[in-house]
Amino acid sequence: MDMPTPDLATLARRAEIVAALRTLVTADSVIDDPVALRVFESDALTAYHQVPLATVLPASTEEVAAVLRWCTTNGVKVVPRGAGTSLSGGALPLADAVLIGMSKLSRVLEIDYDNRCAVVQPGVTNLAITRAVEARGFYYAPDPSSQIACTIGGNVAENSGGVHCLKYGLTTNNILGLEMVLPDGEIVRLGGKGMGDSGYDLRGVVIGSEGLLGIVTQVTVRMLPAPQVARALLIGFGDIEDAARCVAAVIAAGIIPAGMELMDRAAVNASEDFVHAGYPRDVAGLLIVELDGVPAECDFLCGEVENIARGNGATSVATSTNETERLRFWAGRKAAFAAAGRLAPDYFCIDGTIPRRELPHVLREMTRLSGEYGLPVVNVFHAGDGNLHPLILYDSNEPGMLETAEALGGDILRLCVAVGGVLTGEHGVGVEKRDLMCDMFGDDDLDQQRALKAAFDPAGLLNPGKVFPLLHRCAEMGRMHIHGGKLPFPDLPRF
Amino acid sequence: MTRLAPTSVEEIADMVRDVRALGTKLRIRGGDTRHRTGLVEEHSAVLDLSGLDRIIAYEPDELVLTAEAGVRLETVVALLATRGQHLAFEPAARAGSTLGGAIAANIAGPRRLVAGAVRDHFLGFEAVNGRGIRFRAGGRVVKNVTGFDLPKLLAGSWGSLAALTTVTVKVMPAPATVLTLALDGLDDARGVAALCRACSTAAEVSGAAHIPGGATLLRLEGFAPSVAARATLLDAALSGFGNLRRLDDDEGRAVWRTLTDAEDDAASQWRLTVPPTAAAATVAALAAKHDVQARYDWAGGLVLLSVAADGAAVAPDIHALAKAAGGSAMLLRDRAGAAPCAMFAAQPAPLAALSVRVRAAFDPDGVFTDRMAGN
Repeated sequence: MDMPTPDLATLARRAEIVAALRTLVTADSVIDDPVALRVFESDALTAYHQVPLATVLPASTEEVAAVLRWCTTNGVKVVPRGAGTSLSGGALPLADAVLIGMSKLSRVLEIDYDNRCAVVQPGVTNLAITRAVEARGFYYAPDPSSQIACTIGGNVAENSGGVHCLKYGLTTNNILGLEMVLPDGEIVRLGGKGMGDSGYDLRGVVIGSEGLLGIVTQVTVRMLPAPQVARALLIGFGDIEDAARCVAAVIAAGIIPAGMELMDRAAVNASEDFVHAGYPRDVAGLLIVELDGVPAECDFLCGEVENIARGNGATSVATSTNETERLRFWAGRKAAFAAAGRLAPDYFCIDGTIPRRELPHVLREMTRLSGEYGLPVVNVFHAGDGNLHPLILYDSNEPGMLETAEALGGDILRLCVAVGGVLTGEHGVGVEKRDLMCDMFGDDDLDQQRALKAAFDPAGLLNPGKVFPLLHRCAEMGRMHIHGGKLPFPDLPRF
Repeated sequence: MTRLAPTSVEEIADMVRDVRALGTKLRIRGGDTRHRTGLVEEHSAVLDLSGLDRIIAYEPDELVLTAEAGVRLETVVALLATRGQHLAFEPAARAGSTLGGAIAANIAGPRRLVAGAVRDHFLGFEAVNGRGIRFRAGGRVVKNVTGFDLPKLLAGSWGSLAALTTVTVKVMPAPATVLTLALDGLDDARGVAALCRACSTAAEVSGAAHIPGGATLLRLEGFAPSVAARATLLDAALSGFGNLRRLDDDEGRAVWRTLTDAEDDAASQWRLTVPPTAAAATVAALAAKHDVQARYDWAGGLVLLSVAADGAAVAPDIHALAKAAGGSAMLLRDRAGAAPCAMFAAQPAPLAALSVRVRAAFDPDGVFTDRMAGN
């Protein structure tokens, strides 16, 4: 993975830049110590790391504005960072860029129960929003798996999803308003507590923009009354195609479950070895269906889903009868990534989305590609919305293996696009899938997106090297197909 | 006035390039049902997209539909009904509207409260920008974060950024059972308070409206056992507001369809969106100065205002009160013969400048007329 070549003149001005930043925020909010900076060298895509030029931790919207204004005026690049849990390298620093960490903006500013919304700073964690409002029976719906650590500002940047977004939507469907600082230091408010329009929906396009358009300094979230109960079904299938058919049949019956997760045999066994949730091991596919709402609804729908499952070849069906059991049904799924981590020193998670009907075909092709590249793949899958999470197992200590894993991931994502899907359902493009954008979009499509980027950030100083291929035309990208682990340029430095 | 009636995307691209070369403007129209919304800039031609009306793919199992933008909304709704599905945003559209037009206007009906606006159901598109270049964005799956979410931006852009040619929308199962409940005799503030109370319960209310001098209405949708249980839950939660009356099915379904702008040439029609708790006081403040009729939807978050005056005459008061309440207002339809009036309040300078740059990113020469002009 190549990043933009660092600007030597900027690197040479490091001391001057640090000194200037210290005049804009409290002096101890600027970190330039090489050891202290290592904390920020990577996000959750740990395959890539780079120590930033310096890190600034602003404590107010005004400080964010001052730092951005100074950086723009002085031609210094900026990389925003929330909690650093991005799986696509969205917060990967650049050697010649100031990293702006939002961790000090971590207050819940207002909870408006009557209007069912809350105003929070971007550094508040996803789960902390729910914690702040749950005593009154509310919650914030999107629940990315990193919700204990990830921040709402990062969720906004990535348009994060979670296991419940089939029914409750992604971040974008749960945000009412944003306050944002543009690269030139101007502060704009997009939306608010109201649900109406007053011009272009810039809030809608800022959400999921991966830190390329501005830095969000305040977020107004919608909060929902918590469902009275949730129940889960654990459904085993001898054939994964039966499981896929069952998922389609549930939706065809007009049922939108709160969550619908599928694991393949490898994932079931890996997680069972790890957390002993009591999953049946002799299945080709294990489906978890969660239903929530009032008890009468859950009871009714559990019966409906069970009937559908049995009509589609389920070999086992268990329905949770209490909260302990429901959580146990989820325990294996929630530990699937960690369990995969025990199978190999490293894994690489990708998250293409496909039309659900393509699942059997895509699974077969993934098995073939896995064999071709010689790297095992464990599959967990947000089955309800067609969002795949193949975990490619590899060992980064073996030379070239990361690149082989990336190449396999690239082929899987191209497959997703080829069957009518997309490169990423919820993790973002970041640096990870940047060079695959030409597989999904043409030059004209990307030019339009770049033009929008320039409307917000004319100088291109905000989070460079992310989302868009570095070379301007797709034809220049060529295709870096790597088969059998043979890299075209194995000696080029990569990080 | 030239009416251009393209039947292919290539033709649209050629037409846009031609108009751009002439240095004039083009007005995009779908069903032309909202031609009285916003300002109409001078233009040399109308780009009529109603000829692009094919359904390209309807995939009920995938919960998506792809169609050319000029397809009639009625056609889409009827097709979805054959498979027990619907557009969950409940288009507050007029007869003859097109799917592309409904997206460009982003005007959602009562279910917006729980299901989101039109934009929340708009997954992907192909379009021709103001340079006459075809481009696409988004995708044909519900869960997608690949690239900027341009569908959100194009929704509600009123044809000022690009001509939508093909659109993909998320569809949802239509509810098996619909039950409308009514409270009687509440004033506006109490009515809205009852709606907010209902929306704070686990009853998953999918419609919450208050008609001054009429009923305070709540809608429950879903599977029959669930709807029955949630109705009981509301009975208890709202006991302090009176007895919940059950409307019969036809009356119940009909009442929600009335919650759109009124066909009244003698009044300007506004959509005021405010935090619900501010709604009744905002209406009262307006009523003190103007001849106003209000209906409340979205649990008070939307006020459908009918004002017996030209839009321009009341705009300063409406925008000031909306802003003070933390919301905004849209002039949806002016009085017949009224002088031109902008749809929205002027934006703060940095936001206005940003909006101009965003528009230029799609349409640098302003080939497409901008109904939102005057902001």
